[in-house]
Amino acid sequence: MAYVFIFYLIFLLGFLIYSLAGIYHLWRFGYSGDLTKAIIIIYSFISAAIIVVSLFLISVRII
Amino acid sequence: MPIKGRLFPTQTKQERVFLLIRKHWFVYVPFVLLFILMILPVVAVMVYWSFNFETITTLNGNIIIVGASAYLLSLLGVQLFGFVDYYLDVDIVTDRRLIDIDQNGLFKRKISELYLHQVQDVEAKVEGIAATLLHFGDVYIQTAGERENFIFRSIPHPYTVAKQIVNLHEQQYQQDLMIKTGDQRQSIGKSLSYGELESQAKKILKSQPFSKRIANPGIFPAPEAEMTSDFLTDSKPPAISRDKSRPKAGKRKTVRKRAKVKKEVEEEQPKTGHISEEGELREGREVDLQD
Repeated sequence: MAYVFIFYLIFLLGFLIYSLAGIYHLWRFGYSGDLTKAIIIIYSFISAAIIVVSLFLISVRII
Repeated sequence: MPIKGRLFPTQTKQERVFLLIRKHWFVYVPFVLLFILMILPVVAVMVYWSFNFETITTLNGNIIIVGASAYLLSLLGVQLFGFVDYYLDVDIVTDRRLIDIDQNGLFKRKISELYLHQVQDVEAKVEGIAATLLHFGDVYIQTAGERENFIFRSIPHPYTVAKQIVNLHEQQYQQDLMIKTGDQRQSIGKSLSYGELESQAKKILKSQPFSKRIANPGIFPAPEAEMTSDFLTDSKPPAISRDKSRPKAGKRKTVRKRAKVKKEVEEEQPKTGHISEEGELREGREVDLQD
C-alpha cells in the first residue's frame, strides 16, 4: 500500500509541475477576453477535485 | 475593424491589428475524440462500481482509486497540451506586417513576422471534403528574397484572409507611393492635397499592373499575381501622421500668410540675400496630407 501511495505522490508532483507550465503559457500568452482564463479556472478546479476526492477516499480506507 | 491592445511583443502603438486568426475548430476535433475514447473506460468502471459496490472495499480498492485518479489527471493533462497547442497558435495581420505565432506543445514557441512590402504573392488553398464543407484551409504567402514562405495553416475562410492581406499590401503600396510622389513634388516646390496625392497614386497604379511593377526590394517588391486597383474605392488608407516639426494647424495659416506676404514683397522688390534658399524650400514644402 505504501508503494502505491508514494507512486501517487510522485505522480502528483510531476502533474503539478506540468500543469503549472501549461497554466503559465495560457496566462502569459492569452489575450484579454479569450478562453484562456476560463480554461485555467476549469482545469484547476477539475484537477483539484480529482486529487481531493482520491486522497479523501484513500484516507477513509486507511482509517 | 482594428483590434485594440497589444497582441504580440514587438507591436508598436501606431500599428493597427486587422485580423487575429486561430486555427479552425475542426483541428481540435482529434483531441475531443481522444478525450471521449479515453473517458469511456472510466465511465465503464463507474457503472460497474455502482452495481458492485463491494469491490471497492476489497484489498485492491486503493490501487483502483490511485490508478483511476492518475488516469483522469493524465487525461486532463493531454487536454491541456492539446488546448495550448491549438489555442496559442495565432496568426496576426496588421497594417504593417504579418505575424505567425507557432506554439508547439508547452515548451516550443516560435514567432515569425513578415512585412507587407515583402509579400509577393498570396495563395489560398482548400483541400478535402471537411475543409470544403467547413470553409477552412491554408494561406500561402510568398515572400521576396530567400526568406521562408509564410503559411497560415487550417485557418477559417482562407479566401477572405488572402484578399484582406492583398488589400492591406495594396494600401501600403499606395501609401508608400503617395509619400514618394509627395516627396518628389515637394522637392520641386509644389504643394499637394490629400486628394491630389490619391489621384496621382491611382494613376500610377492603373498604369502599372500588379504583375508589371518594377521590382525594388527596398520599397516595392514585384508581386506576381495580377491585381486591380479596385480596393482604392473600398476603403480610405490609414491617416498619415503629422510631422511634429511642422507648425500646428492654427499656426500653419499664419505661416502661409507670412509666406504669401513674403512672396508678394519678393515679387515687388528685386531679390536680395535676406530670403535664404532654405527658407524658400521650407515654404514650398507646405503639403497638408490631412486635408
